[in-house]
Amino acid sequence: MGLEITDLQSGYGNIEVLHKISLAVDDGDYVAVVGANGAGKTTLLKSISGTVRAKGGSIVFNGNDLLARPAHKVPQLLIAHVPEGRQIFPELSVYDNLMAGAWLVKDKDQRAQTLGEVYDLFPRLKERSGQMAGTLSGGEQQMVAVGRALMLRPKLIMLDEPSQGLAPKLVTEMYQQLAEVHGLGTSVLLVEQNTTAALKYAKRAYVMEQGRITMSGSSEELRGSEEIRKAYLGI
Amino acid sequence: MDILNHVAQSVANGLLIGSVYALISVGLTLIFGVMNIVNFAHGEFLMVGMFGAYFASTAFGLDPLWIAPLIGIAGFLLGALVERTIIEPIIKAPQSAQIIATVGLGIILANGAAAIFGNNFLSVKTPYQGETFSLFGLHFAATFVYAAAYAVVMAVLLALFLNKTRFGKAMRATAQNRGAAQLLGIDPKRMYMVAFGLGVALVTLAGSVILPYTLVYPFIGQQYVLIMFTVVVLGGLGSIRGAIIAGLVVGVIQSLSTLLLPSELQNLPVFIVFFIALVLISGGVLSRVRNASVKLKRS
Repeated sequence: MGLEITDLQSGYGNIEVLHKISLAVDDGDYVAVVGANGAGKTTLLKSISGTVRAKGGSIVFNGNDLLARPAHKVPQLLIAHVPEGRQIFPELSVYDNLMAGAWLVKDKDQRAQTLGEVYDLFPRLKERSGQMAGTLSGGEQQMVAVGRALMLRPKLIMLDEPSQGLAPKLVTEMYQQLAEVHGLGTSVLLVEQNTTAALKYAKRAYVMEQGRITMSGSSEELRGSEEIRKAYLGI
Repeated sequence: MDILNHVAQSVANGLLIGSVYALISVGLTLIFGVMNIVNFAHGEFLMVGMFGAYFASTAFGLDPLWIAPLIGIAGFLLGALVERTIIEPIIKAPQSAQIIATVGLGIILANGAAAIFGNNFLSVKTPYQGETFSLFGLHFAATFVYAAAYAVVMAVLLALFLNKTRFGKAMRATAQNRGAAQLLGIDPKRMYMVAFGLGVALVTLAGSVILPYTLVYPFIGQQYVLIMFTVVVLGGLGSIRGAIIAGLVVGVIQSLSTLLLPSELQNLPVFIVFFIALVLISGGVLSRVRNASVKLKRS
């Protein structure tokens, strides 16, 4: 079970970006997809969440065919997507941003409880709960984006470049917080240009080049691979 | 004293009429804010509300002010239907297609009304039409006071809906970032249908509310559309609070101008304000203010 992607073809208009990609994220897995800018990593996540329409292949999550769903019905399966560039609601308060993440959670008590958990994970957000999200710093906005996704209590959380634009110290913090989330049983699918960070925290990884998976394995294996070290880690 | 009294009376009248201007315009800015669609048929929906209220009140012998909520509900359903059938197919189309669709809808509504009801001026009779209230030596026509009271109530209800309810907040989230809202499971199509329905509900309700002091005819939408657009542009496209303040400002300017200008020229200063708003302050007066306050918070 979990997420299974088989021979996925996807892209924009007539331009195919992903050429028959296959990958899997098992229950409780922590998977990173690394690769250069333009390799198709964002398109991969967008195809899963349905904001880009796949042209071929299949995406199945716990037995549900994702390609048969409009984008707004994908989160009903408890898949959360933290998009590239955060995409917070700038003129809603931090609290309202987080609560928007719980749109599908009809149980008021669950919303309150999850909010408490998110505030425990990101105490800074509690301090700023009444502030307009657009006035926060980049790091805080990233917390809002991740916290908002967690409000769903997702089984799978997908993150697109969570380290983008963050100072190194904040990157470490972000990944430690993510490790906590993973520790509570949430599967993680991470897309990163920051290969060092991704391979440090993920259990397994795929390397993507020009819309194809060129390598995969445990993070440890990949960290040891000569090719990866040269091309991505700069060692 | 005499001049002061005139000015005070004029400002008071302007605030009353201005709150009605806010009510007729706020739906236009709501629709734009959420959907990024300029509803050029907004004036014609006002006309539809007026005709609906006219016929309902003459048929059942009820006051348009009592009928107004029902007209608003009917307007909501009409707006939702129009959104699904006419707006939804062109929501991602080029702007020219959107303009033609809503302008065309307005032409069809106005000419359709003329074809069905004839190009006549109609009005309702209410017992309070000649009444005035007096306060601090100023006099207020009852029809304007009731209409303004409706406007205030609707503004409060709209603010509560957008700021305090889950659905209203989800609508604002969709307005600010449709793609991100979709990723959270919010259905943008549903939000668009409700937003357009609400916009039409507000303006048709307004049509019912203003009926006691004005005439209705098939092309009355054209008379109001300039004011609507002035209010919405002055307040900053998509800003509810901006539209409410701008409605009051336009009402007061128009009312004060009658002290100096003959009343048939009362739209001239409105034109001038509209022109200045378009040329000098493209984001609207209040968006400037809002941005400034955001900057202040940061520093």
